[in-house]
Amino acid sequence: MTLTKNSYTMLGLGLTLAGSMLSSVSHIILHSTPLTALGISTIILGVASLALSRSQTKIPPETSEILLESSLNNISDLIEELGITSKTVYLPSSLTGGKPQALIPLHTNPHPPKPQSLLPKRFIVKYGPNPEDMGLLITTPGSTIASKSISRTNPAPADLEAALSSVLTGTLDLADAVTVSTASEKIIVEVSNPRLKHKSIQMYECLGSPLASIVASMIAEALDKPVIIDRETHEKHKSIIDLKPV
Amino acid sequence: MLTTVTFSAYGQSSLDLYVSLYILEYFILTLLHSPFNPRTQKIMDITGYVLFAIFIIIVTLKVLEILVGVRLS
Repeated sequence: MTLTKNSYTMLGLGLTLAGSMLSSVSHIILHSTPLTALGISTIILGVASLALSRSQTKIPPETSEILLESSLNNISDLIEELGITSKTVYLPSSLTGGKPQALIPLHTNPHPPKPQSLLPKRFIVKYGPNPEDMGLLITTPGSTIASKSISRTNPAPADLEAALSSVLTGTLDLADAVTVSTASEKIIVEVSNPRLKHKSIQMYECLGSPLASIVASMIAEALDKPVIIDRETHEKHKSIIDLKPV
Repeated sequence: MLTTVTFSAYGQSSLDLYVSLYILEYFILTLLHSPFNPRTQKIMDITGYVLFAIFIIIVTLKVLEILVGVRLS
């Protein structure tokens, strides 16, 4: 049943079988080198197709989109209801005690919060000594993937780029390419042909778009430092995300 | 396909040459399209090891053929 659902598996099996038969018949009966070679190349293509079939998701993309949208809507409702306008700080796992999470300060502050010690595993947390140093500690789309895929790395742009490319273009298949550069204190991430579309809603102003949120979580985890999304620019075929370590 | 058509048009009848070129093309294409999904990458890596082993066998046979002067394949 699973086989019929996966077109790459069917294609792979078909090519491998046809290639095996063609090469055998051409070599043994026809004694034709070009046809034997064609059969061998078909086998290689078949194996490559079978390998590609393993990258297809078990959950249909539409279902994943519904789940993502509903969870984002819940966060959006919460942020709008509380009237939060401050920028979210993306924290590495060393400050949250589990996976990387996002801290949304409840009070607007010109300086983003910089938690110094491990935060409690609660939804509403106190991150500083002042009474207004309260915030919401939430799990974002990037939290899970960052904890699974990213390890501490050198803050050099090339290393960050390799780590981000591996996740965004390889594991998640969210973009075609990723480039990372640094300018003064900023880390500029350029994502080519992003698959997640940007919307102008209040939640994105506070939390950043899902793509920026994933990138910020991964950079925070890789650098082991809290980061904020300073600016997001969306062009036709690329998104530019400016991040700032806190 | 293009490799097969081109070389057969030039009358090449050495299977080693075709296979070596396919292996080379496989490595170039997988490198250009990497990184893959980790599960895909695992199969691609295994296929790569097998193809590389075949390539080494072809090269070894050719070297021995030159050194010994006897056609082994």
